[in-house]
Amino acid sequence: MGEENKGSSIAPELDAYTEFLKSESCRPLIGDAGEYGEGPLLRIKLTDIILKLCQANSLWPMTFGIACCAIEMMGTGMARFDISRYGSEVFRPSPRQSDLMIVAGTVNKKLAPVLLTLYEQMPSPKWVIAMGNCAISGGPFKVEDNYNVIEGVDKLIPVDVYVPGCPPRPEGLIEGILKVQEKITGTRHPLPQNRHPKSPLRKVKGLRVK
Amino acid sequence: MDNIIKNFKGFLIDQGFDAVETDYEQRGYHLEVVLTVTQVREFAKKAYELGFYLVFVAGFQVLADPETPSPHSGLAVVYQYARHDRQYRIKACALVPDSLEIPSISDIYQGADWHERETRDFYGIVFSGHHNLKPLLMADMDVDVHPLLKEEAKLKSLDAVSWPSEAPESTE
Repeated sequence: MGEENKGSSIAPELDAYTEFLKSESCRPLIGDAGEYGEGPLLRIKLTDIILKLCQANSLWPMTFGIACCAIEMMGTGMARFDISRYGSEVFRPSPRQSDLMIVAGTVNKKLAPVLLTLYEQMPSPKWVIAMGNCAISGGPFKVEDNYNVIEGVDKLIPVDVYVPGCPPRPEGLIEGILKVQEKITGTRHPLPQNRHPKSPLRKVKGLRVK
Repeated sequence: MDNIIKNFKGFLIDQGFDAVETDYEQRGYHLEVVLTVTQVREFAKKAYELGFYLVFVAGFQVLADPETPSPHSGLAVVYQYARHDRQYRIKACALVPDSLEIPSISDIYQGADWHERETRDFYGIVFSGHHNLKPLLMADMDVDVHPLLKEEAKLKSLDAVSWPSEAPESTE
């Protein structure tokens, strides 16, 4: 029985499909194996593009505010700055449901294992924004006598985008999210954003708007 | 002042505590008690029986002076007690001996539990008899790091950081 199964798998249909994908006719659809680095065994270029568009425009950040930067993060989520214009307003209370970690604040030694656990609990693919000077380099705590603050969250987990500031303005965080979108898809504003309507005042005859 | 409180001072002195009345306007407490290490628990029990609550437990560091009559490590623990029913605050202070051990009062006042752990974190004062004296604010790996201990050059003597002793007499 072992001899018969040699070289074939339990699902011949899947093998046939894999062969089909490897054929020349599928070349435009499937990228080179090395193009995306490590990842799933099977990658279809068009699906990938669509998936990445979806991922970039629905980044779900984790509700994870550590220090005063979290206040700015909350402000970014509220109506005035309205992070939902870029699809990132769904702050998830569980790392299992989120794909963006905004490290908004100071990470100290006692918090480091918690942060690592949360990062590991997030399903891949996942991205990290280091928000504020503390998360980037330790900020004001990067002094000789520092005994408790991790000098940069990138010493613990890989960081995709750094947003400097103490704390950064909400516009800064929004720019950081746009940068993450750019990193995912390769283009800024991966989905065409709705253009703002031209000012109605311009249509009034004789009225000049500076 | 209330009779109970007036009696309390006399009661403390009768019990052998070193209690001094102070000017509340100036210092923020009515009675100052200097405790020896053996008196810490005794005093906490008395205060508990008389209906005082514990405000805080904290530590501080001064320059250790071997020439004083009671040699100490330069560390001290401060307890503040107060009442809900009337305005009355007591500051109790105990100098920590060289062994860095001082009896815990966390079984008398449960609120002292975390205060004592915090003081151990910052100064390395060991509260003997504490049921769970592991780091509270510091990470577990930094059990021997005590961030509030200063270099000797930066320390001041106990007299320099205390209120001048004439002050309460002049106001009385």
